[in-house]
Amino acid sequence: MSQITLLSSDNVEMKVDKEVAERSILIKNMLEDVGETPDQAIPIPNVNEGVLRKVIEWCEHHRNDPPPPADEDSDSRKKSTDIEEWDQKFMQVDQEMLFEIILAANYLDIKPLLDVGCKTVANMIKGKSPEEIRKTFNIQNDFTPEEEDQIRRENEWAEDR
Amino acid sequence: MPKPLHRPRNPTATLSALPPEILEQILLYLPPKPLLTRFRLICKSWTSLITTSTAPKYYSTTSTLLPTSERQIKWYQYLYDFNPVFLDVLYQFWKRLIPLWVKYKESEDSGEEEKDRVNVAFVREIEVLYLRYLHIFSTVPMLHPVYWETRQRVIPVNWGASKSRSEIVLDQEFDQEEASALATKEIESNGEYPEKDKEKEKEGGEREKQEQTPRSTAPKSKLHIPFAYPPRSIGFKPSDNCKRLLIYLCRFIFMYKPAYNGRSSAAARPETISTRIDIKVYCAWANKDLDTEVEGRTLSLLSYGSDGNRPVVSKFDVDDVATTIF
Repeated sequence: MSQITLLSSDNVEMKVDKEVAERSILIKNMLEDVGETPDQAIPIPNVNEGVLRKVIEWCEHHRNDPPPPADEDSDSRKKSTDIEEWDQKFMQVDQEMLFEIILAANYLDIKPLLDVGCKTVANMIKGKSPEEIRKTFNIQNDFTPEEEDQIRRENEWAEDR
Repeated sequence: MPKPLHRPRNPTATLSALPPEILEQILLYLPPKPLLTRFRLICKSWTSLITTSTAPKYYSTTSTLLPTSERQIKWYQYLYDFNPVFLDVLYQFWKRLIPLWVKYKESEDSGEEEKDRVNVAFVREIEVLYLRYLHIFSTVPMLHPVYWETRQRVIPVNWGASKSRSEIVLDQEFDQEEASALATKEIESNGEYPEKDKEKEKEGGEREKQEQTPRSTAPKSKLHIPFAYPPRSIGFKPSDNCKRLLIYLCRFIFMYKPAYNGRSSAAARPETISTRIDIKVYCAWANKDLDTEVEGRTLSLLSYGSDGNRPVVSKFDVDDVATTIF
């Protein structure tokens, strides 16, 4: 099994199986372009060591997953926020790490991981009041009371039962 | 003890700092109704993202497709996730309009003048409703009347049982452009007019004029939905908004495709899409004085007449609901 070396943004080298690293479409394309297994480390400038380790851990576990269906129609994923158990445990990290994983998955083009991340966040948002959401994610409420009132009025239709 | 990994604090690793395209993906996983209502309250950037993003559009465009394969039918269960938005708006319309409609029906006995008065009330009410829902229409393009005008296609309506797809053919004088925008392609149908019940025929004059138009312009293969608004004999002039809303309402009603009942239980899921139209629900909500029943394609409305004790049952074909109500 050929291995390649990845270099995190904070200059830590990590050896991974090529197959595992190729879960990342970015790396896969890069390797295809190069044509052969490079002996130099591949720099991943946007991802630090801790996050890269997490991402590799995920890729290791999912190394044998079938490729996601390319068919746009299979959008059922869009609605279900079910996450498989291993991924749920995997995503039990602090918020900063969670968002860093999402950003890394986005950068490295690992769609299934990005999906898991988005679902995790969606599940954190679901069922919460706006106030709770702001608190959870440390979002500043930048509405004036008048603007807020306006939106509340616009929302009445949904509550009118 | 393992040394904790040192990670420099990353200011971009917060929800608000995520690139909009990722936030949008997250939003797609959220149920649409809270998305369009409660979550607009969170902060300005969310509001603008929700308003401009494809997320609501995503729900609305997918729900205009008719399922053609088993997989699409499965996919349709998700319409229920979207339909709350529809249903709520629709419900509000019914709630306000049904009492008026009942009055309208009652006024048939008490002469033109009364009918006229109720009709004016209809128009006002519809305009009020339109303004009230304007922001929803603009957030969810599918709900916006103008949206339809810009999409040069008919929304085929599959009424299941009859295997017909309908298009709304409009009164020529009323809105020629609209009608031609509607009249298009790939309509498969049995080409039969929906049965009109006796009540409708009473409305007489303007309906006959109506019938000639579609017969001459529309090929036989199209199912004609009579759309007689405004009744010319009464001769009131609706505003543009009002006209649009009426067109839209009709489509809205005709477009409504029931998906599965009891989507939570996979076992109970029927093999095909239910053809029953659950207007009953709206009507029941709409007014406590009204009792409603839907059987097949017939909707019955039970109301109490002006004398207060004689119940009046009005029946009409669901195909004609839109017409009847206006």
